[in-house]
This record gives sequence, structure tokens and C-alpha cells, in this order.
Amino acid sequence: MAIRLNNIGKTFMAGGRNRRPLYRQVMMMRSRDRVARARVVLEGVDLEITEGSRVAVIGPNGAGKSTLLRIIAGIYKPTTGTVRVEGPVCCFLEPGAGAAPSLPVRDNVFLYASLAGLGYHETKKSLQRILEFCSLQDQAYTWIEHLSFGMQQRLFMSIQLEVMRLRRARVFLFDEFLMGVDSDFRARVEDALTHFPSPEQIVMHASHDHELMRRTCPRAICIDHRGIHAQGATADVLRDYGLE
Amino acid sequence: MNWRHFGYMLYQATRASYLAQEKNSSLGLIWHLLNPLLMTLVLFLVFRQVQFLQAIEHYPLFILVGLIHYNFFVNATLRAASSFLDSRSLILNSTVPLELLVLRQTSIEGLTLFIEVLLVLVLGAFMGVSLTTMAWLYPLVFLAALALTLGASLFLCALVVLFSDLNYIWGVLCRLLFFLTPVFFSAEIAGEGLARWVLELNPLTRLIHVAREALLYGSPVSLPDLGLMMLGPLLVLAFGILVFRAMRAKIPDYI
Repeated sequence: MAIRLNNIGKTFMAGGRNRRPLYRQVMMMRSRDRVARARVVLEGVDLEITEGSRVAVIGPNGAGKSTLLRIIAGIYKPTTGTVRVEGPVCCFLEPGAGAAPSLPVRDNVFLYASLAGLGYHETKKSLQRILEFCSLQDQAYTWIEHLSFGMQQRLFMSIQLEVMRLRRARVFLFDEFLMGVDSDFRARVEDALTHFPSPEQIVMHASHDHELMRRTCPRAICIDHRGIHAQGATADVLRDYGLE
Repeated sequence: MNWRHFGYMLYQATRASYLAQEKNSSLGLIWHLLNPLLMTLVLFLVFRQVQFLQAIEHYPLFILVGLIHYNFFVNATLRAASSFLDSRSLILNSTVPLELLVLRQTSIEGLTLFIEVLLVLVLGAFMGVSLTTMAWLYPLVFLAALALTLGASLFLCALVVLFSDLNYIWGVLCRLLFFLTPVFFSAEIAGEGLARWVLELNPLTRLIHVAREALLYGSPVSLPDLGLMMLGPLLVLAFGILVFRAMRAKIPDYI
């Protein structure tokens, strides 16, 4: 089993953020109602994902989809339970996080690819392919901040797909990654997601685009506020839970 | 952790931050050199009439060496203190190591310090300072400064996410630190009382003293002095790593 979650729970303090000014933090540490203020996002999640799986994570807003992906990525430590993930994870749940908007596309490809796990020579070899995939080969020296939102999304998605194609990570996690892109690029990504992953690679994505989920992921899990309420074939999960 | 790839990521992240920072500046790097030069000029004009400071040889360079090391520590730690809050989106949405974000700030300021040291050497050549074999000690001073700054940065950035107003408190403490660091005076003027003890407890004091001997005066530095210069920064680094490791898993929850 490449990913195994056992009785995972995640709790935040009410209001989401736990950070607060010094005096309030001290008061909170002394507070007896600390437990009462806790907000449970995930509870008792058991999940096993085998090698080569393409898994859609679906559910309403605030159900805990992103939190689940962050726990698998190792960003959040679960409050309860254990997580085991075999192999490196490539995870940019928000495309463009960490990019330098005031630098050219070319520099950002090297920066973003390095954060995603590619070395200098690999990136240099892949540069043209990445720019062609997102149709930005004529904009290599344009500052990122001068590109439209959709063009930026295309660029960062293309880099992640190149990491997938080069087999530099085993688990790929996406969260609403095709927002703002045109239908032509969307078709290219869908094709890449069908053909790029090797039999060992796992792709999980959280989205409200159920058509995309149905086309690219044979398996789905449905999260509803606290835990996984259903898992199985994507079409069945979507139908059973009235998400179609 | 693949250290070679970590080094490459650090290079890319530092380069991007540095270029982004310089993008809107017409003078670029020269601004970084003008700042300590102008500050040195002001301090020199103000304090040159003070009797016990007149005896200090190459007084303008004496101030400049103290100032660039103080600036390195303060600027790098202030930048690091807000680095996690500024990179919230990256931390919550990617698997980028948190240490990279701290090291990036230290690297940018370390690069500035390196260039400022070159400026000291050039000015020293014009002002008749002759380098001795003690100059070979300077890389050790540079490493000690990096260790001290990195340790304090790790400590600060881990705690700022928990106590959101710590970076303001640190800003005030840094202003106080200017007067507790021998930037425009030498530690000897404090005599043997409490003030001397406070100065000696500041790791920057010994670090700046050895830097001045290496870059300006060339007087021999004893091994115990060198050991004490390294001890403070290494203790701060060890403490910073301990606090950071204890807080590391909680940081994404708190930002």
C-alpha cells in the first residue's frame, strides 16, 4: 500500500488560525475551555491507496478536502492517527505559490521546478517542452505579473506535469488546479493526466469539477465535514451522494 | 533529504528573492553599500570629538566593520521573523522545507555582508591599512556571524507564528542592541562593571572585535578568544535548532 491513513483526525482552534497576539496566546494557554473551542475538521479517517491509483477527492466546501491532501503531503501533522506515504510527494495545492511575480517566465520555471524537485540540467532540458505545453514559448522573458491568471495557471501546471513525466515524484496532489484555464489547455492536461503517470505513480485531486473527476479518476472518495463517507467508482460515489 | 538538491533550491530561492528585491532599484547593489557608508559618516562626524574615541586608529573603518556585522544580524533576523507569515501560501500548499525559507533570508543578507567586507578592504587599501596574516581569520568570523544569525532567525521565525507580535518586540530589541554592541566604541571603555559584562555577553561583541583585528589592525588573537567568539554563535545556533525542531510540526497550524 503506497498511502495508508489510519484513524486520522485533525483539529484546529475555533476561527481557523491558532496564531494570536502574545497576551491572548498566554490567556488561551490558561483557558479551561481550550477543548470547547476546538474545531474538528477530520475525524476517524481510514484510507488506503494502492500504487497507480487516480483518486478524486470530492465533497462540499469546508469538508476537509484540502486538509486531507495536506496531511498526506506531510504539511499538517494529524492530531490523531498515523500516516504512511511511500515515496516523494509533489504537491502545489495552489499553483504559483512560491513563484516570483516580478521575474520572467524563464527564471520562474527554474525556481518553481527546483521547488518541485527538478535539478538545473533536467530543467534546462525540459524548458522548451514546458513552455510549449503551456503555449508560452514566445513569452519566456515576460514577467509573470504581466501574464493573465489563466496563463500563470497553465505555466505552473505544466511544470508539475513535467515533474510527473520525468518520474521525479511518486505522489501528486492537486487542488482545483484547472481554474481559469481555457478548454484547449484543459484537454491537454486531461490527456497528460491519462498518459503521463507511470504504474507506480499516484494522482489525487480535489475538485468541484465532477466531469473532470469522472474523466480522469476511476476512483473517488467523498468527504463530508468530518470523515470519508463513501469511496469507490467515481460515477457511483457522485450518484449516491447527489453530487451530479 | 537530498542536500545537493537542497543547495540548488536555496540558490534558486535566494537568486529569485534578490533579483525581485533589486528590480525596482536603479542603483541596485550600490544602495546596500551607501547605507552603511552614510551611517558610518554620520557616526564619525558625531563621535570624532569624543576624547576616548579619538585614540582609535582608522576610526571610520572601525565604525564601518562594526556596523556591517550589526546590520547583517539585525536585517537578517528581522527578515526571517516575518518570513513564515509572508510565505503562508507556499507553506500551506507545498512540501517546500521550512528551513529553506529561513536560510534564504540569511543567504541574501550574507551576500550583502560579503560585498560590504570587500568594500572595507578597498577603503582600507586607500586609507593605508595593510593586511596581515590575521586576515585569514576572517572566514571564521563570517561563519560565526552566519551561525549566530541563523540560530536567532530559526528561534524567531518559529515563535513569531505562535506569538504574532514578537516581530514588533524584536524590532525594538534590535534598536536597543545597537547601544549594547561596540559599533562606534570599543568594549574597553565600559570598564570592569556591569556594562562590561553586558557587552561581553553579547556574542556580537567578540565577533566584531576579531573582525576588526582580521580586517584592520592585524594584532594576534588568542585561541581562547577565538574559541569564545565561536562558542556564543554555536550555542545560539543549537538553541535555535532545538526550538525550531520542537515547533516545526505546529508551524503550518499556526500561520
